[in-house]
Amino acid sequence: MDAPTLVLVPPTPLRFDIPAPPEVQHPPPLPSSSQQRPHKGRDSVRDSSDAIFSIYSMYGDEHTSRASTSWASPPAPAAKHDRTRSNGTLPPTVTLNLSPERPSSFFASNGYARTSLAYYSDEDTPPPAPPPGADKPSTMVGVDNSPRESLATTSSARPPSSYVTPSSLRAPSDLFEDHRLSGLRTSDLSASSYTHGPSNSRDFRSGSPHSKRSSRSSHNPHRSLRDLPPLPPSANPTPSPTPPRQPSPSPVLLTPKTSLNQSQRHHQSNVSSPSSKASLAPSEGEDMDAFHVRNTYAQLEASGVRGDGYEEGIERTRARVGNSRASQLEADSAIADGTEKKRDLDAKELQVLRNVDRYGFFSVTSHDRLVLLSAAPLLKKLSLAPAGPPSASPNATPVKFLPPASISPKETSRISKWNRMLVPQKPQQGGNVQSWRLRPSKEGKLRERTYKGVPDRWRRAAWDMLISGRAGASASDYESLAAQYRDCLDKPSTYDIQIDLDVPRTISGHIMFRTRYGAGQRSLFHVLHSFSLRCSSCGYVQGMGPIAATLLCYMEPERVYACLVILHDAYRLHDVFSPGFPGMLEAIYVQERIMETTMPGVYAAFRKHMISTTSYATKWYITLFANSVPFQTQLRLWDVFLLEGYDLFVAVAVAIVWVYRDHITSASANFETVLSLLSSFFIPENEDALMSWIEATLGDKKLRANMVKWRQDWKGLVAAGKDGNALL
Amino acid sequence: MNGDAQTADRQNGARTRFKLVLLGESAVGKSSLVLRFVKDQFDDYRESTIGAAFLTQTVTLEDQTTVKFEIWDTAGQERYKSLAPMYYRNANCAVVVYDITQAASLEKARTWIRELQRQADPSIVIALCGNKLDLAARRQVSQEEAKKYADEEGLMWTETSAKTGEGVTEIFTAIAQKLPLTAPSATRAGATRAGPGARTGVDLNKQATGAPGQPDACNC
Repeated sequence: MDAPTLVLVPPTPLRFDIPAPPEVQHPPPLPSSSQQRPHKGRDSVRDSSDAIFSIYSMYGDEHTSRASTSWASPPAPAAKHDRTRSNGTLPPTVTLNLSPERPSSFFASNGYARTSLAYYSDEDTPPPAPPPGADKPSTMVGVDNSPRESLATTSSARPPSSYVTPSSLRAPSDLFEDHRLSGLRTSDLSASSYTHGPSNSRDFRSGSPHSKRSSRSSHNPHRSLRDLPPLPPSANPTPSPTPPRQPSPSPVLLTPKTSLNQSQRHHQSNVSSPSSKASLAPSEGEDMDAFHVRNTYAQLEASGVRGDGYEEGIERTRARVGNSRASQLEADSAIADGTEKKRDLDAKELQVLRNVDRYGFFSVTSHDRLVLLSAAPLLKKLSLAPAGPPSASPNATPVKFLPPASISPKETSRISKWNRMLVPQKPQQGGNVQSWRLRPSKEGKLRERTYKGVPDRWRRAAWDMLISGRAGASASDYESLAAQYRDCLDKPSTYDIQIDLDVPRTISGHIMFRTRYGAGQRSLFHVLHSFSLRCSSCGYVQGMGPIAATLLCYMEPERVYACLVILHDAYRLHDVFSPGFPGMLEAIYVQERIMETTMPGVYAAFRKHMISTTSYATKWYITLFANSVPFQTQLRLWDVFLLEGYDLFVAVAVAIVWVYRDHITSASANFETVLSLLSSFFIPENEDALMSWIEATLGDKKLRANMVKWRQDWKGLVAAGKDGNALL
Repeated sequence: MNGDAQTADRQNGARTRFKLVLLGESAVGKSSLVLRFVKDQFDDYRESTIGAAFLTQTVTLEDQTTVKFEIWDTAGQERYKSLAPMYYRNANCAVVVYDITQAASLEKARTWIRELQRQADPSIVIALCGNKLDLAARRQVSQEEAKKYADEEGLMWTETSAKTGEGVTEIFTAIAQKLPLTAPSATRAGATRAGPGARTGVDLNKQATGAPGQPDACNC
C-alpha cells in the first residue's frame, strides 16, 4: 500500500500536528554522521531515563547510579511529568522514542546518504558535506508515484535551506525509503499533510486519536531525531527535547549507488517502528523474566541504543545478565545519550557503511557448506528423467565465498516498466499514495515481470500489492491490524523469552539487525511478540524470525505485522506453523510425488539411503528459504511466492533436487553425501535460469492440477490416520 | 535412517560410524558446540536451527581407530520436539546440552534424558554437557549438582565452552571411546582419553568411567 516511493508522508508529520517551528537551534551543519541529536532530545532523554530508572528499580538497586550515569543531560523536570501523564493515556513511550538516536542517527546517516545521493546524483562524487537543505525536500511531497522519477525531481527540487523543519528531514530518510524521495517530504509538506491526515500514516491511523498520535509521534521522534537537527520542543507532542542532533552523516561515504540507498532506506523505514511504550507494567501472572524482556525492549525503544547500526551492543536479557555493578554500568553506557553526538562518522561507522551491500548486509554469515546450484540442468524442463550415470560424482561443486549482491543490468529498464505497470490506489489524505494497484492494461505482464524479479525499489510496493490482492485487504483492514499490533505490545506473551533468544541471531549480518536492542532488533521483537498473540495455535515458532526480518527490510513494523497476518491467513502459513507442521508435511508429500513421477531414480535413491525429506527440507519450508540461499535469491523467490502462493516452495525444493539429481543417483552416493549436499547453502549459478525453470514448472497446468490432487490425497491420508507411513 | 550403512561400515572394521544427536533447550549452544567440533569456529549469534542440521566429523582415537560421527543438531524450541524422535531414533549416542547460566535449562535436559531413556535405543550413550563455561561467573548450575545427577543416571558429564573451545573435542572423543567399536576392545581399553585433536584440560575419564549404567554391548 504504501507507495514505495515518495508518496508517503512519513508518520512523522504527526508530530507536526503541532506546528513545529522550524527553529534551527543550532546550526545543524552537516548531517551528523551517526547520531543526531535532536534538541528535543533532552526532554525526551529525560523521559527515557525515568523509564529506565523505573525498570531498574524493579530489578534492584542500581537505578540511581544508572539514572545519573546515563543521562547526563539536564532534563527539564517538566518533561517528566508530561511523560508520566502521557503514559497513562497514550503510549508516551512512543514519544520517547527518541531513543533511536543512535540508531536513528545511523540510519539517518543512511538517509542522508540517500538524500545526498538524490541530490547529488548528477555528480558521481559525493558532496563533501550535504547542505543542510538537502534533507528537506520540501517540494515534492507525495506526488510522485514512480520512484525513479521522484528521485530526479527530488534532487533538483531541494532547497538547501530546508533544514528548517525537522519533519522534512526525517521524512525523507525514513519511510519513504526507497524510494526516492527521501527528500521529498518537505517540512512544509509535512505540515500540510499533517493536517490533512498523514497519507502514509497507514499504520497509524487506526486507533483513537490518541493512539494515532502516539504511534505517530513515536515514529516521528525517531525520524526527527535522526534527521533532523533541532526540533522545536513543541514539535514533539511529548517530551521531546533531546539534545539537538545533527543531521546526519556524511554523504561522502556513500557512493551514489542505488543499492546503498535502498538498503539504507529500508533500514530506516524499519527502524522507525514506533510502537513500543516506554513504561510497562507486568501483567497478571506474567513471568518476571518474560516481563523483564518485554520491558527492556520497551525502555530501549524510548532511550535508544548507543552505536546502533555499527556496534554490537550490550546484552541485557538473553544471558540474563547478573546484577553486578560492572555489568550495569556497561549497560548504562550503551544507552544513547547526548554526549556522544558527533558530526562526523567515526572510523568504525565508516567501515561498516563501506561494507554494506545493496540489501543492507555488512557481513556475511558463515554458512557451513556453500555449493553451486548449477544452471545447466535447469535448461531442461521438468519431465521424466532417467537416472544419471552411476559414475557421476556424488558431490556438487563447492563455492568458497558468497558472491556479492549484484544488480541486474536490466534493473533500470525494469524499474520503468514497473513505473508504468503500477498505479497508485486512490490518493488518500494528503495526496500520498498508500497503496498500489496493477494497471488493468498491464495485468498480462505481471506474472512474467514478477518472475524476472521485482526491481528492488519497487519491491515494497509490489509485495504490498500482491499480498493485499490475495487477501483482499483494504486500507481499513490495515488500519485495524496496525491497531491490533500496537495493542498487543501491552500484553504479555509467553513466547517473549524465546523470541528474545532468537532476535539477536536473526540475520545479524544485516546492518539493521546488528546492534543488540538496536532499532531493527526492537522492531523484530515487537512484531514477533504481537504476532505470537495472533493465533493461539501457532504462537511463535522459530523460523518466523527470518521471515519477519526480511519483511522489516522493506516495511515498517505495523505493516510487517499485517503482512504476517495475511501470510498466515491467506498464504497458508497457519498450516505450516501449527503444531506438528501439517502444512509442511503436506508440501513434502506433494514434493515427493513430483520426485517420484519425474525422477524415479532419485526417489529410489532416497529410499535406498533412507533419507527422509523432512531431514533436509524442513528449514526450507519453515523459513521460506530464508537461510538456504543468498538474500537476493530469497527475495526473488518471495516475489514469486507472493504471486503464486506456497506451491512456489515446493517448486523450489523440486528444482534443487532436479539440479542435483545425478549426484543423488550416483553409485558412490550415500546417506552422508546426499544429506550433506541437500543441507547446503545453495548459490545459484544463474538466478534467472532458476526462476525460469520454476516459472515453467508452475506454469504447467497438468502439474498444478496434480499438485492439487496430491494435496487432497494427503488430506485423505491424514484423515484416515495413514499419513505416518506415506512419506519417505 | 542409515542403519544399513552403519552396519556395513562396522563390519568393515577400522572405520566406524555413529549417529549422534544433540538435544537441549533453545539457545544453550548445541549448534555452537557442533560448529566448534566440526569447524573449530564460533559465532556469537548463530542462527537458530530449524528442524535439524546434519553434519559429520571424524575422530581418530589413539589406537588409530577412526570414528565418524553423523551429527544431528536439533532445534531447541519446544515446538520442534515433535520432530525429535526421528533424530534420536537409532542414535548411538546423544549429547544433552544445558547452559550453566540457566538453571531451567538443566531441567529441560532432565526431561530430554528421561525421554531418551524411555524411547531411544537402550544402548544409547548419553552425555550431559554444561555449556557456556566461559560465563562461569554467572553460573546458576553448580558442578556438584549436575555431576550428582549424571552419576545417578549413569551419564557421562562434562562442562564445555563452545566459545573458547574448552572441553569440546574432549567430550566427543570420550563418547567415541565409550561407544562399542568393532575394533578389538582390548586395544581400546588401554587407550587414554585424548584423541588427536584433544586439548588439555577437562578430564573426562572420571565421568566416562562413572557411567555404570551404560551397557557395553554393541548396538548395531
